[in-house]
Amino acid sequence: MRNRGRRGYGLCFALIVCLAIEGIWPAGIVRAAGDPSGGGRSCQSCHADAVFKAGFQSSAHGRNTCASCHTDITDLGRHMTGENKPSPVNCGSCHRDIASRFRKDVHYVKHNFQCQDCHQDIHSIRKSRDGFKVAAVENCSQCHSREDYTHLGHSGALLKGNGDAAACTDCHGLHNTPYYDPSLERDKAAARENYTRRCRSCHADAKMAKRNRFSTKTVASYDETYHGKVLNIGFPQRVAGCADCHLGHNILPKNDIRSGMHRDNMKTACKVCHKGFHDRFVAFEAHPDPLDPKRSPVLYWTNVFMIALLGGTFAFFWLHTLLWWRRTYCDKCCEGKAGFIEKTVLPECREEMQIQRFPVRDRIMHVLLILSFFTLVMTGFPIKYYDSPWAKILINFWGGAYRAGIFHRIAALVLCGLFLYTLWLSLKFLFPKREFRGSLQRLFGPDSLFPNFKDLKDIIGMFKWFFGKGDMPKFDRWTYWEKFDFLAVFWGMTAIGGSGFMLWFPEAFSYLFPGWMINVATVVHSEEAFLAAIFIFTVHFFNNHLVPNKFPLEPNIFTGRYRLDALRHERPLEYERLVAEGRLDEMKREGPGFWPQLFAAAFGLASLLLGLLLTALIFWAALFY
Amino acid sequence: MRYKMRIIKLFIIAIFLFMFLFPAGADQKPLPRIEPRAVLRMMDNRENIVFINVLSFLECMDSRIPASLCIACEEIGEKTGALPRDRNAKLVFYGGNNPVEAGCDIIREAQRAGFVNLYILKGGLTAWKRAGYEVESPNHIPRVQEAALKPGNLKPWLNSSPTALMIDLRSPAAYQSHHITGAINMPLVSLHRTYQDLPWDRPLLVIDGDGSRSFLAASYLRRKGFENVRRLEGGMAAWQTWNKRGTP
Repeated sequence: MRNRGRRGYGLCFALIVCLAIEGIWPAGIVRAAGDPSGGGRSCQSCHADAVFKAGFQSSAHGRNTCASCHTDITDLGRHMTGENKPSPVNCGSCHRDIASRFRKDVHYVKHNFQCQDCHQDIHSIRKSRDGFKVAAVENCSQCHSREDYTHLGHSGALLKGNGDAAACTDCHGLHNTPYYDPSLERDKAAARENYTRRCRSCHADAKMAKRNRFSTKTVASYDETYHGKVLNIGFPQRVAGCADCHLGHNILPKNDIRSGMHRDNMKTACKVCHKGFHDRFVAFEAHPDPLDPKRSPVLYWTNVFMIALLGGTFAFFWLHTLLWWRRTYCDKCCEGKAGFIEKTVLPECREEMQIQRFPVRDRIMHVLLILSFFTLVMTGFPIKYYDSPWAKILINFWGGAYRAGIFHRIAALVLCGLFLYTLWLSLKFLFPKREFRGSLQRLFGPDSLFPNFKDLKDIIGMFKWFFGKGDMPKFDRWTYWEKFDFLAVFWGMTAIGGSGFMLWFPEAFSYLFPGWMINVATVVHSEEAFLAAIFIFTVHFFNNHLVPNKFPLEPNIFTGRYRLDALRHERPLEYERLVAEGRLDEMKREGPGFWPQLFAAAFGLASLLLGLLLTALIFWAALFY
Repeated sequence: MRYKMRIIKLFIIAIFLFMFLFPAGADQKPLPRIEPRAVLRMMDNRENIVFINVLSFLECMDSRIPASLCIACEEIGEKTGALPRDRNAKLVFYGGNNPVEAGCDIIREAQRAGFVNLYILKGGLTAWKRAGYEVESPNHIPRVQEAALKPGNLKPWLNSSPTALMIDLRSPAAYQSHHITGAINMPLVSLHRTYQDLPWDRPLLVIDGDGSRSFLAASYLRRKGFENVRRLEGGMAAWQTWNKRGTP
């Protein structure tokens, strides 16, 4: 009986086993596969290769089971017969963040990569012993040509064990490698901006620079070039970023023929944007250092000269202005006996007899000068101080760096035209009707804007007056500060105009000068622009408009008329000369009409206010950025 | 009589003038280009939109806008019947990241068949993906991890692999206009049918127009059992640039 009973249990057990084989087993396998402790051993009975047997358990996903990822295998029978083909695994169900970023990745957008296309070893994937960066290089270079990256530059250092060196992912991102369509200008610009930012993230890092013995000046000096400034202000479309010259991956010493910095390769890089230059064009310093006399002696001494010029000019004229303001303020407020007449008030002018001081031609020229000068300042200074908060606002006002550049050039041409015309007028003044006789007398005479010995005496006399040691000098038609304003234009136009044309046509000038002269021109143009703008907005404005007895505006350059009593007080020698020569009566005019006065007030005061605002912005940028 | 002759002369002049001003084909205006967002708006309005992927069958099955028809530009005749019956349906043609060519045969065929609402998806599938919209991969071809051959390395590679076969994947017309000496033409559009004609034991180099399509072709051939398949980086465009400048 006992044996029969055992046989009965045996039959039952066999029946259960058969039932299990028939239907329950497959589900059991799937359940086992879904059980972390089961570890997917049942799947391995078919998928028996070494990867699944040995690699998976110790891989990064080893704590998961097969069904954790292959969720759509629900019917093992159909799966085993091939009816239920698993669809690609959705890695994003766990790696949500990566999946979300990957939707913008070039590998997905352009080439329809899925996770397993790069992670082909997904069943045995584990942390690399050599570190993440090396693993990234190894993985990327499976498809991307190795010769460009893995044998050169950054990776050379990385593969030798320098963890600071950039891997592919440091520049191109990981799972978010941006897609840039080379046929779209906006994409090219975005790529340039992005890769320049990536380079900067390491090369401007002081700690990393110290560890790896490179200089952060490389970035700082690039930022001071036109390329760097325009890119930094947000218009990378037409300037070179890091990868435009360094050709992406060939980061090697510049004497290596494979390096993008090799002289022969630089020509190719420059030719992408610059056409028709001489070979010496490539001597341009993309990372100039004007403070290093050994590296660029000409640049260094040019910089020293320009700083000395600025320092000397401002030291003299600001002191002059300060002392003048102090003296007239004291005269007006404390003693009540100003050296000049009381302040000019426009409506009163109509009632007084005036003389013609500036003809219409000069007034138009001055208005054009103001317009072109302001355009130059407002289009140029945002580039000079690209990192100040107002620079972007101002450059966007013009429609971007490129359009601002067009306005800058138009204004420069207007200014050049005015300069040439003034030169012509000066020659006509010196040699009227081609008469050379008496030209020296005219040059040093009272109507000339050329300095003479009396100007020196006037300067000394003025300083004596500042300190109460004498009376104010008696001036003739032109004061020494007016002559300085006039003659400074000749120097300024030569310096700023000459350097400006060099920067405008660098390729053509490469036939005359080596490329590093562009760096010199940049320093001259920039410093001279600062000198001109700040001189006009402080010294010229004060001497002619803001001095207390003229405040807020001397309108005679706009109306052309000069009050007779003002002439008598401010330029007594001219007044006496005109009386003696009997020319005063013929110069007498009625006061300016309503419209000239309105124009003078509106345009003149607007220009003054704009100039003062720009001065504040420039000082803000110069001192704090 | 003279008056009638004059009328006839003027009529003939008018006809010639008309033919001169409105030449044949002038009515074939380029198709309007439509942004992915605009298409989606049309779909939201339940308009009858039919997407047509004009790339090769392999590319279309690898990645396409859901429910797209796969009809390559060159596949007129054999697949024209796949076009919808409703002639008022809005057909949106798209390719990869390169613009759909103006001379795409299937578009002309659709025009001839009476479809009037024809559009080209601006930016193609790439723009669709960049906009973040879904795609489907009915038959994704796993990518083969193999470094591409740079144009500058082609000659040394050919010297080291004398039995290598170069396969130009471009259209017969593009192949006729210029190709690398020794390359055979096997358009990508029919590769899934013709790959069996390739020698199994020779190294293969696949070449396309700009390097954007050969990766998929190389992966496909590797999946089909060809063990030594490489691709030319940058395709014919890079090859020509290298020939001109000596640099890739």
